[in-house]
Amino acid sequence: MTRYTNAFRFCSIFLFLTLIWELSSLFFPDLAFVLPPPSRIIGTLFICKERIFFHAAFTFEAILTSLCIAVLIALPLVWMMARFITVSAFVQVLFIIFQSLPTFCLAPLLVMWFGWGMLSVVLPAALMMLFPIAMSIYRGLQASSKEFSDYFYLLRATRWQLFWKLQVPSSLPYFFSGLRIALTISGIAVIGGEWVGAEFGLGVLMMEARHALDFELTFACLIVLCAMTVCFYLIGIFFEKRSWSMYRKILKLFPRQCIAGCIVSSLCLFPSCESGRKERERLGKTSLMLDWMPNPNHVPLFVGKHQGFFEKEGIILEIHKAPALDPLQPLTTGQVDVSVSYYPRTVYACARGVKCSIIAKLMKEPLDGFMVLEESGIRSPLELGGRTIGFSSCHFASFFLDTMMQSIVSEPFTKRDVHFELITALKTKQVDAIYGAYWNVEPVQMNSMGVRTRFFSVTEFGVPSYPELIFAAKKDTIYASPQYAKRFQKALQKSIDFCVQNPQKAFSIYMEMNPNKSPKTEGWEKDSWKRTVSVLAKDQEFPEEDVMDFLQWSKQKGLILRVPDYKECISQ
Amino acid sequence: MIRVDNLFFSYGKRPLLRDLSFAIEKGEIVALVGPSGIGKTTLLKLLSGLLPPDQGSVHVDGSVSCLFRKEFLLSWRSVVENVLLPLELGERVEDPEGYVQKAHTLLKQFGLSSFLDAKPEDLSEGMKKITALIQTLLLDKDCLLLDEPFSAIDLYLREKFCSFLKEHIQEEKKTLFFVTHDFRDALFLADRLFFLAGGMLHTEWTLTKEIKTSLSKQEEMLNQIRQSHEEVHPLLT
Repeated sequence: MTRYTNAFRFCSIFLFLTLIWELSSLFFPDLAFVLPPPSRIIGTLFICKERIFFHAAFTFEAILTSLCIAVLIALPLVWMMARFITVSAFVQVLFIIFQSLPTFCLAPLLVMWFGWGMLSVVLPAALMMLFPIAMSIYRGLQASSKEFSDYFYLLRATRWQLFWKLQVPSSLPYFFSGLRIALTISGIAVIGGEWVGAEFGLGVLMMEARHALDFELTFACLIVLCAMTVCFYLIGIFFEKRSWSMYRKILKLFPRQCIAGCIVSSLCLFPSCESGRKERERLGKTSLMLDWMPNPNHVPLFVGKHQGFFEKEGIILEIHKAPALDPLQPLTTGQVDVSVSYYPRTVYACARGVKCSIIAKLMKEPLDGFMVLEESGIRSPLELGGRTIGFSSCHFASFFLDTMMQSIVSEPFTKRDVHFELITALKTKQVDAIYGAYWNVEPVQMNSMGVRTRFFSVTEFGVPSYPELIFAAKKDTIYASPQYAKRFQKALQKSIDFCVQNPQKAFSIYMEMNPNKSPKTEGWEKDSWKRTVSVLAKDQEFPEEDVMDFLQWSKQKGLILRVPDYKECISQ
Repeated sequence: MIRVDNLFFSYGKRPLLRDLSFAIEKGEIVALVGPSGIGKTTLLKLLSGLLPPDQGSVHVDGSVSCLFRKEFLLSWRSVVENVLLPLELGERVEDPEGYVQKAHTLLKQFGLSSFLDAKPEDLSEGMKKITALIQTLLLDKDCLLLDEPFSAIDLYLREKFCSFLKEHIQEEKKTLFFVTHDFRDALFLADRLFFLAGGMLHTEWTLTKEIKTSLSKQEEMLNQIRQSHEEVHPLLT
């Protein structure tokens, strides 16, 4: 009875709060932008159900896999800890160190080591879950009292009998309580991993949704994630209540040696094989990573792949979308062969001696710049002095911003790192202007929300012109060879030309190859594409003069310490 | 038989047993009394071999089975499974079927027939103790070491069990050494009563037929025990 009363109380309070949320969004439209009303979230959940469940399946798989890995590592580890005091002392300190490291810090490293995919999501999550599981089993093993162990000793039990008949069953409740904690953090852990190193999953979808300013979808993902975690938690409780009887049944069904064997063999099978670059080279495949989620800037790539322009040049293109990650990093570590990257960042990397070079260009000019709200009354870059400017966190963006501002404005300004929330920061007026917006993306997005903006290109700040988006490859691989670059450029230019001649068809191909975009996203991306067509590269030339101009200017402004050779930067 | 000679034992720097010597003959029942924390349980552990003596020697003839204060019932096993646990472990039982049969008979005899499949958490403290006692008795060892075996058991069952135990020990010529705080248990079961204090045997009484039948003698002895307690109790000194 009490259970039902409690459930009733919970439901009524929950419904009441939801109602307040719903109503408040009617009165505060600005709030509704960042906190969409529940009705719209539920609506999105139904409209995009296929897309959400597609990604949720990946997250579900990642949670289960990481849980299995955590348990499989925890069992032998704890056994060793219980058996050898030295191992126990070492591992406990190691756990404290690992726990103090957030997954987000580890994930980029794991991406570098293990490549870009399921393993990079699952490993940090498993590491995060390992601690509560292992420590609770360990505590459970310790919990079987000394007197019980003495009793087993008096009954002349062997060490294995002590382990299987006393220590393991007495640690089961502890194991399940650890499992429940692990399951509740599993969602966070997996999402964290997905943000850094995955192509699919709720984390990726949430990021895509945020990028598209589709906050309804973001919340819908959160609801699904929440439901999933609660389900896991309930399943945990279900098994916890039946743990002993289940354990005994399992022991009756399988001999103990068999269980131990299973654990060991699954550990041996566990290391997964990431397909190497050599293998891709052999098969003529090119693994290409976008600079961000697929967006209208990437239309020529999808068109080229769809129309077979790349294939005609002997290039089988595998396109990967990138989460918030430096596009050069997976390139240098060999996880991808070609990256869509930013020109300034790439040539500066070359200047620092990073082994990469530019093989082709996607855009002909800079897209980067400053965006302000029209209502702010800021009409020219000169008026940015004394204002607060939001930028996306990155050491380089911060330096670039300083340099540009100093070159035209004498008045000091305030910098605010708004991470990837450029539009939100500007719309909610946390900043007066944002730096890092693309002329063909963010203003269009704002426009679709009915917000008028002004845009100042970086060239207005005296920055020499450069092609914003380029393709980079790692030096000393066939992908950076002039022969490959020529083939790639030929295919790319054909795709670009096709796009310029048939912009509408190109966009339909892009939409076809990126299904499940919400109508809201499709709307603004269509507008954005119209602008993008005019800035696509007209040719694949990199005039030495232009390249050196930009590098000299950068050196003069102190952005780089040395000017690299033309050939160091461009593979022609 | 049990023989202890000049036994010394200490926990860290705290000496517990000092120059303790005694002997218990085969077929004899001896009760051990004494203030709390004086080393009674430690002595049982030394006799069972769970603790090694610092000095002196402990000699026990034949096999030993023990029941310590905290009964050894595994919470995930039912009553009958707990009682039969020794069969699954290293214990060598000549007639396993007879063992199971005997277990059921004893459980039935002491009112546990309807609790065979119950988990220890569903039992009262007294029932748990009886289960543990049956488990210990079934092992059929030469020497029984019991630590407060009858605490929490109701009067009826206690008397019934004591009679059964006495009969069993005398018939099978076993040795029983048990710790108790209840003078009546000692009086009913034991042939001798040891009072442990100051790390050695402070006093020893032989429970003659005369004492067992005369209330005044019993009262006199109880007074002596009270007095000994007062003299040596660690909380009072």
